[in-house]
Amino acid sequence: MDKPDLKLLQNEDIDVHTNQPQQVEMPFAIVEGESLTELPRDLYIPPVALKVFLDTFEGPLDLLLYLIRKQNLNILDVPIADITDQYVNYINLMKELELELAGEYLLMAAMLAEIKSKMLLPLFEEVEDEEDPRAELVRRLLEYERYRKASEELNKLKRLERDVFITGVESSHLAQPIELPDISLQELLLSFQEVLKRAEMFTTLHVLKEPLSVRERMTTILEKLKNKDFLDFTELFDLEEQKTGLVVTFLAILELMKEFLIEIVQTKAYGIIHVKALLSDNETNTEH
Amino acid sequence: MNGEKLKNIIEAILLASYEPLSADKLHRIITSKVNTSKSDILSAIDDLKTDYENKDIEITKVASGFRIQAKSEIGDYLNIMFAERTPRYSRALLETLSIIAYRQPVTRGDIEAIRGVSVSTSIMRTLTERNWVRIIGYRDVPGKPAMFATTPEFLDYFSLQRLDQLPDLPEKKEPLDLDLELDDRSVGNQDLSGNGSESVSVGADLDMEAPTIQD
Repeated sequence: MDKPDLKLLQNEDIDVHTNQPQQVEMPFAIVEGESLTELPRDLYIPPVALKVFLDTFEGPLDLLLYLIRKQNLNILDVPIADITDQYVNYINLMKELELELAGEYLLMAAMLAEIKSKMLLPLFEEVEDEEDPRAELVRRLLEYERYRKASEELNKLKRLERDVFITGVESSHLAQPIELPDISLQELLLSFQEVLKRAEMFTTLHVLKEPLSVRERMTTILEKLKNKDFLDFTELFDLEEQKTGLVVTFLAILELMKEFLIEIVQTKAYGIIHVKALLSDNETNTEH
Repeated sequence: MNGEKLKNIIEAILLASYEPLSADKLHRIITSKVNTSKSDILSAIDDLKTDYENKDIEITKVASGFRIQAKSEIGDYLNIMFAERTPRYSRALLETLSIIAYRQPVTRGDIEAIRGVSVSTSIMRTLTERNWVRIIGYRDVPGKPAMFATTPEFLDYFSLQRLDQLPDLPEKKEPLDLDLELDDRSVGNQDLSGNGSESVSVGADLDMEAPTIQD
């Protein structure tokens, strides 16, 4: 596939000129920093084409590798300031073209800026093991490049539907017809009856909710407390009851407290919690 | 049963089968009717290979077994016939598939770490729907991420018998010399030795090694 030759300029406007893809007279090759040919400024690449081009980058590592490789820069000694500038230019261009920019691109921009700023800081003698700030990035780039190359090789393998075609003969006419078992009408009716029976079971399996009223439980609790000074908090719960029953009891206790009908007393931390009725006919002797 | 007859049966079975068949499976199918040995089957397959020498079809062995396919010389004709049916796979898909193939078992996280972008759900779906990739377990770390590996069908598709027949992964390069450069580092020396020309920093021409637009 012909690739568009593009030149990205730093102008505010997208100002893109191109050579015709067919003219391959070593265009714009940069050897040791010298650009070899002049760019023709009369051709224009529509933003749509540029969009297609930019869209093809498979993520920030791909874009960075492209920038490095096409300028024949040494990946082990990347001029980080330059590469960062160029990278950010592309990001801005992508934004202007309203390409949906994956967060990864922005993350990489931030990473580059961080590396760039670290490079600007003077090196401390004391820190022996200080690694080149670029090392991690370079490692990732190299690792990505390995797999990118591997995928290119994978693409070259002979594969089905493109290079290899399986031969076959039609054999469906030989397929044995599947023998279906005979079913008498009676069997059918019997099994339908079974279904009806089961359906009936479902209708009778309505589980009735045990009506557990908080109000009612409040009464029960007060009842229990009636002739006693106090009760152990745990005595109010009937462990036979299901979880809902316990919750209702607890709600009832809270409700009773809110209405100042009972009082909860705990004399020491982790001690027994006493519940005491505060009914009017039961004069309070102790103040807490 | 004589060898000629067995050979013809095997040929017909392989032609009728949509999938490659292993010698074991062929043996099982045939012995259910007539008694043969596995070595008879293998030698019949060899005979078939000889028969096909002068034809444009061939028997090949791939991961799941033997299949009869058109010789590659015929590919050009078939490509014209199948032109609109030839599936094309994106670079993203091929990169993802390569990482799974070379680094299996891998999690999505592993793939993301290498590619630097999140793994696309639609790619993983394509890979699993094509039955090239499957989940072979869950890594015992928080989140229990699924580990992916390739399948025999993947090898079949790429005409391989075993994983080690994949092209070698490019050698790993370590950025060793980096530390040596540290001493020369100082403020301002990064206007790139030898690359200080304006055109490099200002423009970036996109003429070389551009990623293919659609593949």
